[in-house]
Amino acid sequence: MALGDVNSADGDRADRVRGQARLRRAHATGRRPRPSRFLGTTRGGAVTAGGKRGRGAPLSAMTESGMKRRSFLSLAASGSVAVGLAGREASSQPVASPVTTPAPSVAIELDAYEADPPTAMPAETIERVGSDFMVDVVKSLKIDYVAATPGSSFRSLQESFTVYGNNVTPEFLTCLHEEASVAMAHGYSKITGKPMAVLLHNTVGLQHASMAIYNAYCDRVPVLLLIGNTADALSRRGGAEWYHSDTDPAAMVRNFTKWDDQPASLGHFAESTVRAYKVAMTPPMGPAIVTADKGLQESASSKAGEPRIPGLPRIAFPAADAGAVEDVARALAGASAPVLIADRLVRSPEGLRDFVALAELLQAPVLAPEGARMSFPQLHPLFQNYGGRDLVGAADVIVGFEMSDFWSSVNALRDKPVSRERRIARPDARLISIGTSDLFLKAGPQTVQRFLDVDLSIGADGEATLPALVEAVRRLLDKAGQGARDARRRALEVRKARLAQQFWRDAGYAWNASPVSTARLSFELWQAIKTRDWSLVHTPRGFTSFWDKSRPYHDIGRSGGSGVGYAAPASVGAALANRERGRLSVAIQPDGDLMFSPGVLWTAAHHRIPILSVMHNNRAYHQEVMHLQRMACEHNRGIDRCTIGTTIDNPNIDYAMLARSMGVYAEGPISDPAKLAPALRRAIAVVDAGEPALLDVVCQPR
Amino acid sequence: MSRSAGILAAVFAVAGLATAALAGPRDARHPDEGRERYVAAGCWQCHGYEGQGGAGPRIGPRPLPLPAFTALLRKPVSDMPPYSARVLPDGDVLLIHRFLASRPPPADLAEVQRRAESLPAAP
Repeated sequence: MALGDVNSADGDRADRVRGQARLRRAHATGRRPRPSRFLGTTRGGAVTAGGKRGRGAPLSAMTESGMKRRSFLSLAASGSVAVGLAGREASSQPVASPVTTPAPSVAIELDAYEADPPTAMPAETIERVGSDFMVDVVKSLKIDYVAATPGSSFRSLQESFTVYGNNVTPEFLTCLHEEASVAMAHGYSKITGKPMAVLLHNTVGLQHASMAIYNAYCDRVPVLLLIGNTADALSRRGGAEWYHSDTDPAAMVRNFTKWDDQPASLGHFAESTVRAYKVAMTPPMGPAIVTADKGLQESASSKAGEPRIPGLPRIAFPAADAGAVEDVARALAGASAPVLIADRLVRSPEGLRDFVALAELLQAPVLAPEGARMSFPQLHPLFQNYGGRDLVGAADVIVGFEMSDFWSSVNALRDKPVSRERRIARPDARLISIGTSDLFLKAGPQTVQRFLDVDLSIGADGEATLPALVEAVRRLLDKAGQGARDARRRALEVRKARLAQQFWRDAGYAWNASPVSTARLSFELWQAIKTRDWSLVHTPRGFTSFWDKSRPYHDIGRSGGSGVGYAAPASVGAALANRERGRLSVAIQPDGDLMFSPGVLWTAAHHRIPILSVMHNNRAYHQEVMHLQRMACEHNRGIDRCTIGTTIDNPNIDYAMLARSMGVYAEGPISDPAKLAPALRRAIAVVDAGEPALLDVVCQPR
Repeated sequence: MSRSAGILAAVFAVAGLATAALAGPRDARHPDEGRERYVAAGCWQCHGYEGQGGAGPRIGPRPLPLPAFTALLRKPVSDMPPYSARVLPDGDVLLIHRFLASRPPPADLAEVQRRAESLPAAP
């Protein structure tokens, strides 16, 4: 019997092809095929044996007496009988253990099948399928990784990525939750500046992913999302495949993605995927979606007849026009107390160089909102974030670059029963905004933040505008004013030194306390990494304000949408990008966040992604503890029940055990600060060997 | 002793007894009572278990004088939530204040850093 003859009149073609491939591999290697997702419980819960509705008899039903010819054929197509076949037809091949001996009934069925083979034998293999072409499209974009939790709506595409595409460029990353897939892509992009692809099972996988998509949207990070979907209702298997199909797959996340399309042909897929990449990468960047129809994926194709894959253009970012740049430069050059505030400004070393040049020309203080990406060297005398609001209050010109919330940088709003707001900036201060926020807006999610009536609003990319702005300021600066600018610099140096002294004195309090103080944790961690080429891939607020952050990858900022569950997977994604650059990735990992997607620890171990994850374990959703306390106090009640529903204790979670269970080196819980430095040295040795490591440090709340 | 002096003496005596009942004997019985009140009142949530600061400012080991400390608790000027006397009685405030005042001084970080410099770098 030729293996290619395995057939069933009502069998699903693609499943048969895969079953046959498994049988061939079994012959070639003599090994038992790995458990097949074509024979087992799908993500939707339906038990399938490789084909259409009706063929999916549960294995338990396949008893010796009850196993019929059709059931056997389904089983054969799935590959589970391969070992039996291998034993019969390739007995000379080495057989890896363990080997399942075919049940007597299977042998009887096989004999019966050989004695009475089917007469009609249509072609059983498709040498090239639409998903192969789809992989060619993705490869043309030079995408390095595709992250996914497997799902049947993209089964052909997954097989094409891993087999036809040789699992390189992109390489498949196995994720245990779609939220982790997208968050990994989020972190990865903040290091590389380009998107990762993510495969999402329709409806269910997409809903799992939606929180991470929202974070990426708020954080203006490009991600290429490919959604499997079965548009042709008649080709859907009953049950799960209907639940996992949609007439408009992207609708449920459309409010927080930049663009989506549902291509109806391979040519359409090529154009839309290249367009999606371009749209995602054009500031303000963000996630874009292309639906990969299952019918298109699994249909026959031929290389010669396939459509052209459009080329990806070089994407030039929108810089401000010369007149607007001149206006900003005049305002800054003529200011007596200018202040620069940068949020998501710097993407590249060149951008950092230009921003430093601008600040140094003006000798202007630079501030950054909480959680911003690194846009200015932290130890530079002009970086004045520590207690910087007094500088805002004294400024006559304030320029905000790529601000997501400019209003809160120049105003204060007290969280009181009757909210009271006040402007921090002088009433006559000139406010100028340069950024891409206004170039792409959607109603619904309130990502626009509070409206600020600035004097000049420039819809342009901040980093792309910097070179022209630097040159204009250089040209317009009055030489006679150099003395005043130098004096401003000296005053800022004195201020910085004074505040640094205060900071270090404050850091010394509770130095030997247990739980470990956040200052001690940060200090010990800094001592352990400061001589290395390090990259801080996540930190909660305030921990690392004394670290010598001088390169863009030294702090990639936070989640964007403040959706819990970002830190762990985004850190691993960023660490993946850093791995190729030889950097030591460091994350300060909150405990509550880790429990949203702990499976990413397994992904880090499985793909050997080196990352030092040091937990800030305060055994609570601590922000919420404080919110509850505020409510109880404002309602004039005791706070003794504020920990109900907000703390994560009784029992305490053993995060080290959790990590070790997934193959990650881990130590903890560490409550004694004296034990931290030695543990860090051991963990870094593991990371240097190319593996992830986690230290569970029980910490003070903030 | 005049009548008013007698009243005053009585007031001081009562106050002294009250203070003694509040502080001395209690401190002797429960040296950590101040810490317990501090934790039970949730002060640690913003100011850390040692009053070293966190989401809120540092308040130990030299807290504001007790009257100002109490006034600020009752009617905060910042984002801090108000603690009424019903939620946190004056006696508890006193114990908390004493606990904060007894916190150890900060470590000499210059010395810590000097020692750290002599440690081998991570392998």
